[in-house]
Amino acid sequence: MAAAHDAHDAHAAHAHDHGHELPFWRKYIFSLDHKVIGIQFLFTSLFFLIIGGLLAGAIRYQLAYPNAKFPILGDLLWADNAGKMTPSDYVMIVTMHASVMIFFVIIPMLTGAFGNYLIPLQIGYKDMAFPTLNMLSYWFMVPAVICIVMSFLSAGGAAAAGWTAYPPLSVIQQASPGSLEGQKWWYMSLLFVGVSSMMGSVNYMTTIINCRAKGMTMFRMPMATWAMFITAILQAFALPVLTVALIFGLLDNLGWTSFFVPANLDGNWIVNSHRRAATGGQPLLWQHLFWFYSHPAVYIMILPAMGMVSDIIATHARKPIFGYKPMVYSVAGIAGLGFIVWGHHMFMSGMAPGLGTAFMVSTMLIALPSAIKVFNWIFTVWGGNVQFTSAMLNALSFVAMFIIGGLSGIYMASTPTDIHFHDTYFIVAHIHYVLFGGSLFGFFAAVYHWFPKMFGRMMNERWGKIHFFFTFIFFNLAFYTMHNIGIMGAPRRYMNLQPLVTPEQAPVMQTMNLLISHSVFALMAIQVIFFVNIFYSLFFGPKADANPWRSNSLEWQTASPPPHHNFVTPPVVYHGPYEYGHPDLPEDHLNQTDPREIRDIGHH
Amino acid sequence: MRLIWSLLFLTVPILGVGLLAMSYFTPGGWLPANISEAGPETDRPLYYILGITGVIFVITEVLLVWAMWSSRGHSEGGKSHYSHGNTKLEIAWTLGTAAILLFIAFYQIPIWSAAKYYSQRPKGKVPDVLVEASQFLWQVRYPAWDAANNRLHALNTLSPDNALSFEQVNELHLPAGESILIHLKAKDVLHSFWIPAMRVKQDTVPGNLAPVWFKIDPKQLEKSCLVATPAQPVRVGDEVFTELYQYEWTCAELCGWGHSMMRARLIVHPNRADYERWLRAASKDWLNKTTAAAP
Repeated sequence: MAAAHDAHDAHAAHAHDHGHELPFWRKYIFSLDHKVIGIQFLFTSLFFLIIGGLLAGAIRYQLAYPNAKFPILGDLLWADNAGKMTPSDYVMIVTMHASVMIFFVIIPMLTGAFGNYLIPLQIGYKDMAFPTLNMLSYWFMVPAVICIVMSFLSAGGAAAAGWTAYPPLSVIQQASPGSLEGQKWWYMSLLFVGVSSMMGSVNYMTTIINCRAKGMTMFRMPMATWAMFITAILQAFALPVLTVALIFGLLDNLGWTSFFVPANLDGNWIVNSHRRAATGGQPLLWQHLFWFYSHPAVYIMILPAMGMVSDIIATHARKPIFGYKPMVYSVAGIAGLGFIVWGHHMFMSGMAPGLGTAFMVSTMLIALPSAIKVFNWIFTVWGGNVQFTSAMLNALSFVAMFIIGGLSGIYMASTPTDIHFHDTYFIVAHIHYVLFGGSLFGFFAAVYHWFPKMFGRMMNERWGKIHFFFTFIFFNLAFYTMHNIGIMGAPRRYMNLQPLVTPEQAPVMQTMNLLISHSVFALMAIQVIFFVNIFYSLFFGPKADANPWRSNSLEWQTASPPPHHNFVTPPVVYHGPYEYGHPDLPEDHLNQTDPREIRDIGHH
Repeated sequence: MRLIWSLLFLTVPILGVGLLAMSYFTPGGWLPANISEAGPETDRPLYYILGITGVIFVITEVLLVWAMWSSRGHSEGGKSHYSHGNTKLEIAWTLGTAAILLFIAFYQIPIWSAAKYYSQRPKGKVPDVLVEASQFLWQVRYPAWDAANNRLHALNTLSPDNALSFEQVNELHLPAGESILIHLKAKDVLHSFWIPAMRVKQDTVPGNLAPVWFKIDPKQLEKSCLVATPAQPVRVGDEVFTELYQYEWTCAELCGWGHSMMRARLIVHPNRADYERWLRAASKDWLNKTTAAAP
């Protein structure tokens, strides 16, 4: 192993000498450098964050003013509907908002951007184990992007069967305008995203297992890398199932097969146009396959954020992470249990109710590792020397919001209460507390924290805090109140939330919807600050030194930005990543590369 | 700054509890009416969970704020308290949380099984109605009145016969005070049969037949939902109805562009006799219409 390392090192040094001679397109476009690939993922997902956000704005305008003409774009898009959004386009926008946010924003921005950027740096290696595969992983996003754009442009509009694409709606072309062409592009787009994720996953696992620096044992890895590692395992086991389901769905939609099309459909549109030779498929099969991937996918979207937030909280609280090993085990526990809870999406689907009971119990248990993590984060902050930086505030907010998102999950995990909450805004509130309150706040924290490393410049702290303050307030106003209308029984994916039960509810519902929509508009406007801060700081931010946060992990023990192949000399690791505030040392942190020995204390 | 940020985070538990409490005390701001006999039982786990998670929510959020506030902060310098964790504390909160979660899990199983397990369905009962969902309406099929024998025909939900049953669109009539069995089907895509006031929700899957059962509690019917009164009676054929209650029900599973328009009315009759009177009148009505339409 040592010899192999030396050979690598010689190669690394050699390559480093020539690193600057690479032509522009090799260095920044078809780059093999994990840092550049990570940044490519970062900007791609930021672009799609804008698209997904605008789609959310359109949804919220419609819900706030269900009978009004749509501003600005109304005359252009819906001229023959008096400028009002059409029902089929509403469902399409809802579908695409979720699809874009999940598959083109959250997954690429966490595993794609930060997974790529951080893993080799945090384990002290020059690059990923398979740099070419890594490059392909990014470039497989390009056909995915082309397909999702084609979905919008195709006849009948983009896919409109929800991001869950339940058949038969998604596979019978006559069932929905979106199922004509848009849905086919949607299937293909997700297939490419899946291939991209799979390449990343294989690479992350191989790199973390084989390429750690000397002294970097598994239990000296920072939580971010641990989380990326476990996420990669999740992806490797869950993605094949989604791939199969997507191919089945695509074939069904083309009319060649009937995996999900039951016999004897007699919708008005099917009688004459149904040209399948054989039928007899089962729609619930898709739900099982889809959720077997998509429930773990929820953890794929939150675990990396959990890992990064753990690093950020320890660094900015100047304190070792409380219960490092329980943190690792609970990430692994979430991942393991994550594979046996998918049926909780299907309590009302017609799945055997007894099976529902089994999934209910496993789902309750998955709250346990999540709770352990929350307690550990809180006790990491406790007694710390907290630096209230933008990164830290967003990380703390991740914890505060994840508490809500985690606890609200229990209401749907509980089978009797799910009867009422299933497919209402309570679910919408829950998923946004996990994916926005969790993943996106985690992402903001990660950007503020690692931006100096990525680009060698600091972001503006004052504007970072202003961005955080208003994001925090408007996020909560927008999404907490969705619990309220969910309790009232507002169904999701409705373009008009008139009261369902009594006229008494009408004014309450309307007030709530106005509050939610205007908070979302404000939330969107505030994000301009974030984008301007990024692009301004990219060029004009003050220069960052190698370790502006006085952090211990290896990525901070090299220049900002790190040179091609990361480390001038291969690092050697002597400590865990969280040695902050050790009483024997004059300074309050101890780099992982610092050879000084310290007393092993602090365990109780 | 420490104060400002701690206070900002303190708004989370305050507003979190406050907004839910506000909803609870606002008329029309809380759960829909509940007219199911099993309804209080179905809602009870919600209040248990609300209580348990509410307490945990406030405790954890306040702990987080306290941890932020009590941290010594940048300006005062100094080091943090050096600790890698506390095994006893970890074991304590792991076991504590596990006990709470297992309590929630096992407490609710009987309620779920009564609502959904096939073994709990009303036994030996002929289904009262067949509800068939398609884009974007509900066809409700009732047994027709057998005038010769002065009773209802039995409803065959597998292959309904137009002579022995009749159909209404988007209108579900049911009697209060007795157990009801409904068979659900879908003709084209997935739909979901949701009566919020009954705490009943069941997806309808084309190719599958799903039973749902419940009992409407006559004591829970609300005056505000009356659509027929002695002053404003409703006539069907020769019959006059002076006490009918209306609730809305709807599709809860995305079924296409018209999903949000797929709403229907539940009309509750105060008792079986009143309901059979309606079935008799409505099936006669249906018979007249279908024979008039035939050449």
